[in-house]
Amino acid sequence: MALGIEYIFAVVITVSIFSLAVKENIVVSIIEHLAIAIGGGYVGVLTLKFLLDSWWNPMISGPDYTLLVPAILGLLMYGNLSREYRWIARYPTSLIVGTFLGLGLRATIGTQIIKQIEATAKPIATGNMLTNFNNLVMIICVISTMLYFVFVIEETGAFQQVKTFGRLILMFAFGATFGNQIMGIFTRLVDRVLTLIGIM
Amino acid sequence: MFKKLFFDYKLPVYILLVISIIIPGIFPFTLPVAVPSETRAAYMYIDSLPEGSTVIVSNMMYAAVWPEIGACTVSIFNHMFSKNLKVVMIGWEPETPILFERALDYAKKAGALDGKVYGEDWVNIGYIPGDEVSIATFADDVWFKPADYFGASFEELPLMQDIRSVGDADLFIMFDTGISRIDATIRQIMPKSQAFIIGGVMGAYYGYSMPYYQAGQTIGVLGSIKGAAAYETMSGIAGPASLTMNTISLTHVFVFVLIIATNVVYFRGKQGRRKM
Repeated sequence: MALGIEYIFAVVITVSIFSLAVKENIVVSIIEHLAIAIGGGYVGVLTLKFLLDSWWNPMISGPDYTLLVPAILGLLMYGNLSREYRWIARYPTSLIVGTFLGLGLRATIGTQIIKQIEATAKPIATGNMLTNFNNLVMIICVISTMLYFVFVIEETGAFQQVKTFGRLILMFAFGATFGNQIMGIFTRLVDRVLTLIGIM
Repeated sequence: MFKKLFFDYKLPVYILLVISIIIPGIFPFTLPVAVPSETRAAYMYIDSLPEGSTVIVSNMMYAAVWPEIGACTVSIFNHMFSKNLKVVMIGWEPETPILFERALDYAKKAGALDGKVYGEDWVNIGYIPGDEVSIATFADDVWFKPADYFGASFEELPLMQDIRSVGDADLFIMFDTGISRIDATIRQIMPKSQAFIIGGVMGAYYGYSMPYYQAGQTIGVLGSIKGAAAYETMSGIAGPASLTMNTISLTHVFVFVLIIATNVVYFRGKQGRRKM
């Protein structure tokens, strides 16, 4: 990376944030506020640009005044700012919740329920012994993990042992996720440090 | 000693950690990278696409996750552009369009963009707000935001003339940073795309993506920096992931040593207390 003003700025900001590892200080607070301000301003400008491209320009050039409907609904959301007129915001809010739920439900059943059940219920008597074993392990793990969340049967005997096994499987999964998360955090640290010494 | 190691030794541990990161940067070495089957599958599919095929790249990365998702994006961009595939980029986070440009800079440095023209070989649509509702709309109508990141109308961009919906592209690649976003893209885009690849997920969500691979819903998955490094190994085009992965391997060794050292100190302290 060339030693330009951007690089110097990046180095100063990174070192300032790293100083938090030693002690909380005013420089960290300034950088945090700077990040929030830049982020807020940038998001504002981009959203305005999106509104111009997808709402204002088509409405004016059309002219297509049906596009005023979403704008009015959007303005109603600001009713939340007033205690007296808060009820007005319920209409756009209910529309948003309904739209998200409808869109989500429409596709969830096919992609995230039926397909996943199909992928879990695999045959355990194929020609390949290793495949049979893998499929059996998957079925046992899924069933025991699901049984862990059954709370209406008393935990005694074999049922208790199955639940314990299910908990173990969950812990394996959480352990793998945690390990991957740590790798991700290290990736960010490595990127910053290598940027500081001018390698990335 | 136990108390000292955890409270007084914090700064030396940080310094040693930074040194363990700097060493592979100054004295580069190459460690072998195992290629997981899901990364190999993603590479093989992209490699098999004929020249001129169109790929839509949907990305939700923001600056903080650039080291993970950016590395995946760079490794796939390098490969796709060197294969002369045409790429349409769409960002669902405000910072994504800038980070796309950064990933393109890496492709330029690798020579993958030589002879390529903006508008014909790639288009950066920019940022679209609205999460799942926008994703669902985009799946059916790519033109619902009819201008690119630089303000050019889609009418002026030759590449966009044949891309009206997600199904018009030969491949859809998703880069994601959170469970809700992964779910939303998979729900709304996967059933409508010709082929679907999870091109990059953060480490924490790698495990979460795997059921989609096991179920055959996605052709392949690149899990964080490890997936990106494996992809670079497959494509033979070195990028930031390979260097980062080598460094991470060394820092992980350092962390293992710390874990062992603290356990030894802890148990020795316990024995000492028992003797007393």
